[in-house]
Amino acid sequence: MTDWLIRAFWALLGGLLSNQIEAWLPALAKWLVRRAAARMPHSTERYEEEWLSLLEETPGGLAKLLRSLGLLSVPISARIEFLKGMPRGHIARDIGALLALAVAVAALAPYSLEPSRYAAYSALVIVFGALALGLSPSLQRLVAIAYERMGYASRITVGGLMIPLVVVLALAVSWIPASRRGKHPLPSSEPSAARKTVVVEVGVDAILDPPLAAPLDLMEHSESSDDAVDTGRDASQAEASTFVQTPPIEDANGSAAAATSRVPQDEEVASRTLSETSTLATPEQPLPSSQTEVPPATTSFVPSNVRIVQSEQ
Amino acid sequence: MTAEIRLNNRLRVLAKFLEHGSEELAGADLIRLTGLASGSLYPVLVALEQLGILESRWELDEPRDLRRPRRRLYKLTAAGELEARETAAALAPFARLAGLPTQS
Repeated sequence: MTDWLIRAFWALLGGLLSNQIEAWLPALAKWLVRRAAARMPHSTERYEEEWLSLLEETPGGLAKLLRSLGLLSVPISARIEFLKGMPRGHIARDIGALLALAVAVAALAPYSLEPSRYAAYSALVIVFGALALGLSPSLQRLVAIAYERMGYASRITVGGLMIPLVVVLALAVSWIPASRRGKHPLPSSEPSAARKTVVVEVGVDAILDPPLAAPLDLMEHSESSDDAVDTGRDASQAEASTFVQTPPIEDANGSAAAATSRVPQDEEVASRTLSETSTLATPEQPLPSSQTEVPPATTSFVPSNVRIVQSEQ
Repeated sequence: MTAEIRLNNRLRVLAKFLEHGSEELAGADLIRLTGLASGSLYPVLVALEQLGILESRWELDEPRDLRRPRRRLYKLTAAGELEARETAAALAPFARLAGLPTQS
């Protein structure tokens, strides 16, 4: 009983599916015919109507589909015939103009004479070959005549050669270094004087919890105090940093005081320690918006002419 | 090999036109008469029409009266008929060698 039900179910399902497919095949065939007619080099509306009429005279959905599939190849032959009927044109002029254009673009190409030039120029050759065929009817005519004169074996060989050619081109393009694909390294620029800030490394714990950290003496000039200032930082940072003399800062009494601060010279070290640094801002330089002023209670040992701010990063 | 096959297809179509005299033939008729597939027949029709050997026109009757889409009818032009007969005469020795009937 169960087997009978299962068989009936599958039979019903198969019947429904075949009906659906049979109903859809003519529509698919018409769509294919319209696609084929649209690719004809001329009289597209005429061929669409003619071939739709041919489909109407063809009995059966599958036969309609097969006939429409056959018509898909007609535009290729028609285009070749159309090109053969065209005047010979100025082949030498077209080729010369395209070669001149190719040389001009190659000269302006942003590729230096690196190994990647092979990839760049092979890509250019393919691009200009396609451009030449697209723009020059006389070249299209030559190719069409050559294509027609080729035997099936030659066509298959030429078509087969396109596959390794495309693969080689893809490999060659992927071989171009990223720096050669439009990403040019920017020249290293020094920060302008207007934006130059003096970064003073201060351990975060030294700011937030002064009793646990060693006192920070910004007025200390001697290099022998290096160890005392370096409290709270690791040894590598200490090695990568050097003392520099900051511009004199006038205090409230008008006397100039030279503050010696620890400024990382190495860019990498600076970025690594940015979150743990404070900025010593001169009165002319407004504080960046991403920085907040540290409450004065925690920096009571800092001279009054020095403001220490903590970065929010 | 390709050129021979194409020549054969063209000759098959031309032979059917010569057989039917001045009668106009639609694509469906030619598919039935020549046995060519649509993908083989229509390139031949396009080429022969472009060469001026064939000419075509739409059916004069209205599709409503016909109750089907109108057909495109092909026939040999005067120059095409002359050329087709010359070609048939040139190929006649081959037809005789092959034991095929030839037009006198």
